[in-house]
Amino acid sequence: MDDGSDGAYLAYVHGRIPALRRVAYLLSGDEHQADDLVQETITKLYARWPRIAEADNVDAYVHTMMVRAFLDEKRRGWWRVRLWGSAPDRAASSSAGGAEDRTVLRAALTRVPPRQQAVLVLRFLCDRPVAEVAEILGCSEGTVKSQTAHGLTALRKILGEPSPAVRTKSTGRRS
Amino acid sequence: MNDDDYGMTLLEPLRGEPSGQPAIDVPKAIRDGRRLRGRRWWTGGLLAGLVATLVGGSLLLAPGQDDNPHPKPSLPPDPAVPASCTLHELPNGGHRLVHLNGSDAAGRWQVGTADPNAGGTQSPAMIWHDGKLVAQAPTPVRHLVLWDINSSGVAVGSSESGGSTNYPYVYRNGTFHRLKGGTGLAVQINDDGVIVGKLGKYGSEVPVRWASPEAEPEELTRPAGETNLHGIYDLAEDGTAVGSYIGRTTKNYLWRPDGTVRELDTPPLQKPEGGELWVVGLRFGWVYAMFSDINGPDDGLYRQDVRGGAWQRITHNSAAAQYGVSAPATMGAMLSPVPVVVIGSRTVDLPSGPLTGTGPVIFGLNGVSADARVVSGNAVRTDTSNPSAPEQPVIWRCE
Repeated sequence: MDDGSDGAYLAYVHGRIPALRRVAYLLSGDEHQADDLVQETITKLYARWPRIAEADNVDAYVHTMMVRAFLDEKRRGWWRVRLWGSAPDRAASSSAGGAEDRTVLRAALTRVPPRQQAVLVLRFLCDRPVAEVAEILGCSEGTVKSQTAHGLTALRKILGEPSPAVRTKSTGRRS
Repeated sequence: MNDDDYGMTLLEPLRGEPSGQPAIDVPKAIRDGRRLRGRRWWTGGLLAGLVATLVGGSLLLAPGQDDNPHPKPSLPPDPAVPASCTLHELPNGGHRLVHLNGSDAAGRWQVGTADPNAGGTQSPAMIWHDGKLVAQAPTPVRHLVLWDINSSGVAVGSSESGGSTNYPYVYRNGTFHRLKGGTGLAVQINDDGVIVGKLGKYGSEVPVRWASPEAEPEELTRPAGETNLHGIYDLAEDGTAVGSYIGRTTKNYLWRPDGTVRELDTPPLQKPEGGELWVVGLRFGWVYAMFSDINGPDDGLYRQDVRGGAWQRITHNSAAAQYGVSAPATMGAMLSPVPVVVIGSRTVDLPSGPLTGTGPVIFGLNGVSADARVVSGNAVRTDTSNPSAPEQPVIWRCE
């Protein structure tokens, strides 16, 4: 099934793996998950390479694939994220210190709706301009701006909320 | 400080580079990518076959059209909320770790897996009937998990090799058989023997149903413009299935027994852009869904009448309600220290004991019977050093 373009694919992938891995790491916050995201992305990239290779902006296309893989993974793992991302994070939120701050911040970020997570990471950690983020996510620049605002608001609330989300018998149901 | 400055400052601590050696296998990506190329060709073949089936008068029809946008059907009746429930441990067959995955609509049959993390060929599928362990069936391949069972004791599931070669299976009369159609997953079976799942390699899967365990798969109608199937989650007794596609946004779809498909719209929301609507499952004639916008005005559990389309809001905080929605096991477990179940539009507390063993326990539900008299799930020990069983299948009997 080698259509003669494997060489171009290999050249592209080997040149981009460090950058892709960095974005995947910033999205996921985990090295192993980052490698999984890159692996999935370059697999799909190979499957579509005969068509993608001719595209004007292959990098944007590849980043779109990786962000979608990230969102897909978030969707699959949402239930457990919500479980483990609730009470322990809140309990730790008053602590100080660099490593703990990163842990608390990362835990809080995982609780922001996934697309907003992606927007925040791409804009503020990957330093991508609004227009580029819009291209990667396949939406308008206005949507990127509104998702940025909503994501920051959600993150602020999560970090600042004092009471744990997991209810107990003694505190009763939150509603 | 504007959003840009605030975002930069707030997220600055998360900047960093992965430090370890990359575990990325480019040759494997090429091998798997080649299979994906082949898979897309195969999908085309399947679709061609389906066109022929359509001509023959099959179930498969065009996407649903709303010919009567203002029906006023009566809402599906909810089961009576039980006055009291008691917790019962299901026999674990002597295994240290047993995980319950699914139950039939009447709550009389349950199916699960022993030692699922070990995943060896000797890890049996577990079948319970009326609270008794009636089968420990050694699986024919590694990592075969049965997800659901019907009132005839027929169960479905899939092998999970960890790669891209999973196969859908059915368990019946003591024997495992592969369902027709090649690689994929079977996730739910109803009392009529209808099975739903998906076929194809990861990244190019299509939603399917099997009319019976022996039947050829039929592709469910593909919603216009959708290509990236996330999954089929649940199947109602009337044949309605629910699943979602992932594109620019996640869209949820309902496949009706007449072959039509319609997108699940969103409930009336104050800030629909603030979050996403995620389907949880089909229960009592309703599709339950969570709108996740933490601390936002719309955050909560909702349900829609499958036939009429009317929305109801169940709770105003998804973190409080999510534990009580008995989502199918394929969606993952939502665990809570206090067992609670959503019945109709009510949230009902369940007893957390008595249980054998000591130490803190959290609960995950994945089944509630149609009459709300049996709830099923797992009790999970949170202290991994505890010698008691780390996972124990349980049911609550209610009256």
